[in-house]
Amino acid sequence: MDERELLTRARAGEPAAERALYEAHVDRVYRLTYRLAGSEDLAQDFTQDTFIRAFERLGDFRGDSSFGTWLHSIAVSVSLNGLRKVKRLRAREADLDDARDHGWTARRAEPDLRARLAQAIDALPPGYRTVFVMHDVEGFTHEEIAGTLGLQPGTSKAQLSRARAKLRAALADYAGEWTA
Amino acid sequence: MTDDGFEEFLQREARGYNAPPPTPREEMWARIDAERRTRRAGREVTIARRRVWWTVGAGIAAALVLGVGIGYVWRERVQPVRVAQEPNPVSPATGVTTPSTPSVIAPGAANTPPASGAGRDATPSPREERAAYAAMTVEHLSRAEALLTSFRVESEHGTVDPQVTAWAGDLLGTTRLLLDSPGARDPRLHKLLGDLELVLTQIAQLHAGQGGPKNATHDELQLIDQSLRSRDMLTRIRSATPAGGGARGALSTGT
Repeated sequence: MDERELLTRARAGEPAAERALYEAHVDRVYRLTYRLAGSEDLAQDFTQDTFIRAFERLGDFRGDSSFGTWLHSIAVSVSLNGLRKVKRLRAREADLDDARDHGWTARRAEPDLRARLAQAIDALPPGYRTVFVMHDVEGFTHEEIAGTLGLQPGTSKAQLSRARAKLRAALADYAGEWTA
Repeated sequence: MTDDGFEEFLQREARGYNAPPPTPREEMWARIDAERRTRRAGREVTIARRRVWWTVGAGIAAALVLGVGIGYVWRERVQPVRVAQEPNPVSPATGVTTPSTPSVIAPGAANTPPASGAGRDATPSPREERAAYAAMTVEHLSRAEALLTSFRVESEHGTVDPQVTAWAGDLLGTTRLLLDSPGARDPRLHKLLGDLELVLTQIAQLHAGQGGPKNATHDELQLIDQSLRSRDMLTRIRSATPAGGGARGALSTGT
């Protein structure tokens, strides 16, 4: 059964068709949400929310892009919105921690290059980070990224270039270790 | 950009960024399925509730439309199709018009006298209002005539009964009401009521004076009597209130 037929049946409310669509796309959606969230709980929440929304709005899907691209755009939107909420929550918690740790002067251990890279990626602006994660981490093409994020492929390439430049600047202290 | 190997480093190391564990397919599907069922049930409840409200609303609307329709048809059937106004009869002797009752002809009852009040509007017509005002005025003036007569008889003996002054106080209030009424547009009647108010005030104030009306001085009583005579009060009141107390005399409702 091809995806078009599955979509028709799913639109009619057939649970088996919904399950088949889920099975076909859940891995890539989960990987993407996990890469963006960096947490198993958040990734599961975002994946579930993505499929629930997709099944409820299946009537809105016109087939202009592939179902996968449409699903990924929902996943990115859900993840970024969810992360924004989490960030606000963590910022409040951090304020409390700062107040608690006031006067603590112990020097933190210098992270290794891999950990520093992860921190640098986390610190990228959301738009750059999304393009970087999709392209360099998950292997999406610029056309796929453009379709998912509603950009021109050229914009996707430009954002990836700026993301890499920012990472290079963030890791300047480690210059020379990259080839090791 | 690749001369220092940074992009190769990124491609090699970035794959390890937030490396996901195996997908918990069944676990997530169970939650998705449960959530979808809950939402579907909630939607069905909402739809059912809306349906109930629509049914109730439609029932109320239908009852209202039916009620208005029945009322309209009923009103059409009992409403007079023609109101014939007969000219007011004029008394040949006095030239004063008297109120007349409009003839109401209901459907199916043409040329037959209508039942009392049938098909008539509850709101009185201006003519009816004028007739009611005239009747009240005549009754009031009759009482005032009786009061003034009593006062004159008693004042001749040098004393006035407190009941007379209290009576004057009562009539004073009614006089003011009649003066303020839109019916008091007739200048003659307005002047008569104005003079009556003044005299009644003088009589009513006798009671308020030191020692009460029984101890009213001769001068006070003389002053009131003079006021009565100079204004020709009793004659004017009698000409305005014919014997029998009908709403005729100087009071005309046809004007």
